[in-house]
Amino acid sequence: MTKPDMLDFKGVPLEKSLEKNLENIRRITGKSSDLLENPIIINGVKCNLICYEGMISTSTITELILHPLMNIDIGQDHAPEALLSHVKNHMLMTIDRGFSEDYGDLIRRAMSGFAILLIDGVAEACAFGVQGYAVRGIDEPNGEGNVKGAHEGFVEVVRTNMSLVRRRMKSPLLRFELFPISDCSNTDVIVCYMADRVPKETVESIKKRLKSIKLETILGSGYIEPFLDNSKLSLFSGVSVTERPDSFCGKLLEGRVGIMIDGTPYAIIVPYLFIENFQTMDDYNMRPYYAAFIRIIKFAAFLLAIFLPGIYVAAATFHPEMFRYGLMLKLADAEKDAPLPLMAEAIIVMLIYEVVREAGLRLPQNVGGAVSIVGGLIIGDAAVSGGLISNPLLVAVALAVTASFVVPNLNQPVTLLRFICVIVGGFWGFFGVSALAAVVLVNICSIESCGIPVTAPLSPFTLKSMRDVFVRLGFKTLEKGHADIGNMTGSNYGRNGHFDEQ
Amino acid sequence: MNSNSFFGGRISGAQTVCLLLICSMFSLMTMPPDENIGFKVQLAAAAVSALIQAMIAIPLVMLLSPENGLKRGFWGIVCRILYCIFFLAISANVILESFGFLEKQFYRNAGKIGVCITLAVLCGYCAFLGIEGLARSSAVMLTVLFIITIALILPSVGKADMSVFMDRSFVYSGQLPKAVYKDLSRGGEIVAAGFLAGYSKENIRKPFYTFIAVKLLVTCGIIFAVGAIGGRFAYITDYPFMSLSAFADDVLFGRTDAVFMAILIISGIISAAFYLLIASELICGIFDVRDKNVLLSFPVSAVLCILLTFADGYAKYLCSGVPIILLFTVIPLIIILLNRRKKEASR
Repeated sequence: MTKPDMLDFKGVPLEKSLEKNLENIRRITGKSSDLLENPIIINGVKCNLICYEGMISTSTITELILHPLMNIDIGQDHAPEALLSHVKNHMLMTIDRGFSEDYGDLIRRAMSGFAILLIDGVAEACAFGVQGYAVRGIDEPNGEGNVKGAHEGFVEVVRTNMSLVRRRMKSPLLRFELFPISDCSNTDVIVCYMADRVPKETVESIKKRLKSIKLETILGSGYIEPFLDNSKLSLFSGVSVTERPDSFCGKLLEGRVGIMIDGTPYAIIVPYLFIENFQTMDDYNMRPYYAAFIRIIKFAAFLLAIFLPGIYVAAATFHPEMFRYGLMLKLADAEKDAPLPLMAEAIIVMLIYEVVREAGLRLPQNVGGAVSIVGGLIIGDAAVSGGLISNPLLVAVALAVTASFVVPNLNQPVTLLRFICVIVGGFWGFFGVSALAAVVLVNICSIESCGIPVTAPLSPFTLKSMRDVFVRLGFKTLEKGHADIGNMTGSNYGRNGHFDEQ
Repeated sequence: MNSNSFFGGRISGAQTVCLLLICSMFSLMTMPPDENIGFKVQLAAAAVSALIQAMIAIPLVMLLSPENGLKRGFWGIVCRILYCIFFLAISANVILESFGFLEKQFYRNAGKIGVCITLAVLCGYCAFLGIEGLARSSAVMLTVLFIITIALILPSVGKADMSVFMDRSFVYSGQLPKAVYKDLSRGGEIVAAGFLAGYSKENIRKPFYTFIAVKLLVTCGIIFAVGAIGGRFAYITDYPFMSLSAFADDVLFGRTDAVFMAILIISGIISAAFYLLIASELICGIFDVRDKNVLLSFPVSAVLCILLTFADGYAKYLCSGVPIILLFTVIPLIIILLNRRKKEASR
């Protein structure tokens, strides 16, 4: 065998000689300081147990691997094949174990927290899963908090996330398919779905798309999302992201495919419907009438978050007749001393807010609070009392900004559209706002996710699925047949909605 | 009429109805009043016009199925050019109507260049997003339109006066044919209906007849509401439908004219984008453009549409009266005859 090249070692078979194998591994890893080599002699055969420091649990490796290995006794037979056969067939040691025949697989396993046993004389290595790296504990999700639902969120370790899902879905139809993607980082990705509810073609198409990703590393769900998103020139995405295992399971049950990525607590879900932005786990834990009320509030909040400042600017600048007489006088009185045009005022207020928000996000939590006080109280109060900004405008912007947090998934497009709405409203009044609304409407309606229109079940209309859109009907009604996403009107799920075809 | 859709996309029967309805709603909302035609006659004319459309126009349009429709060859290209000019003109006309409405009702000093170019670019973009996006958004918009119309009409119900429907002074002989002709000449969407066959997932017959029926209902409803609430005022205002907002005593707003404007602009953009999409498709057919080059047809049609908005006299003429009636009756007949002759010759 030729010595494997530093970058081209994948698929190169292992040598029989332990020395050569170790030499090649050192060559591949560049004698990295965290690579641990533990030479041992087992039943008279030279072996080496290699692992990466910090990736394994020392107590587990001592108890489950080293101790049993040192006590192996297979008599006078010192043949390496006999030792390998014994380890393979008579010793379980860890639940998660495998056998590598090439350097690519061996290195990937070692770097994933496996202990690799190399035996002199055989071109195969045993890999034992003894992961023990430091992980963040399961915690309440940051962006999707709720009142009455579970308080568990995904963590950065994909295998823990897998267990969080499995614990909630004890069904043999729930399938996890784990494979590494990205040539450089070899990030573990899990494609997760209910076998009876997702067309095979869709799963294959998603897997094919994931495997074709050529990025050097995958450090977050945002790296993968664009590869699963078919929305063309759109502010809105065709994929959704969640950090809640319960919500994830709910989506799987509706026939969607979930993608979990190692190193991020966010799981991707495709296909995605626009209506999902307005659904939370709390909706299903509250009384239906209250859940319906909250849903309608969320829809209203979404519209307010985009259009309120723009409509206020447009109405006050071009269409004051819209306001009732008393209100119009009050607004005129508040605006008369403002030195800037209304549109400029609105943009300044919104920019101040964005700056304060961004500063609050990036700074340490303690300082972040101080920034909020400076931004909210000092700048805000001073600007109003100094007559730079009018009170009604401040109310409109504050209400819009607060409303945008009601639908956190849509925060990015909503923020941008709010600015655009103020600009077009300031220049062209209601004409500009309505033209923007038309384009946004057509834009959202044109997006498809895995062959399903994101505006379903509203348009195309599916009566059965409407039981969980504006209102959430009681579970006694919902239990009468599940509403699979693939059964919606206009759905091409599993037919021509594949990524490869688009 | 288009046998092979260049842009792909499939819409359902219900979406076909919604798309056609949103186009006719726009023309209904901008319908100018005619002092010489009474409301009773308008109602009768709507019924007669629907009958003519159902009995003559729709069967003709449907005869031009994707298999028998516009073929390549000299006459096919000539027909495509004619229809393309018509659809560019009708989209330009929608933009001009929107501009006229804005100028008359809201912005006296609105610049025609800015408004028309903005609208044409937006319509071009919406057309680029595809027939499915337009069809789905038309369904949403139609629902919104319905709710707003009800909200506009309900507060004014108390002011309804039926006397205009009893008044005989508005009726004289010759009113009805004139009103029917006027109604038919607003039927650009009937011509467009033929081109929807290529996009439809199902048999187009049922959606077309449903559209005619719903359109008749909506037209009668609007004429009735305008007549009963607006009364004689509806004859002297430029936009009778919008005048309803003047009568509405709303609890939230002082006046709801701007709300009306919003729905008119959104409907206008969707319908103009739909016509532009068909024009773009026809451009691809004329030049036999394939693959990714089809995307070029959108900016081309948007630019041609902008140019037509500046030749507003021609744009208005091309999509009104005689040209529309020719396009949904005579030209389809000629195409059928030509196709039959070709078939016989090939036998």
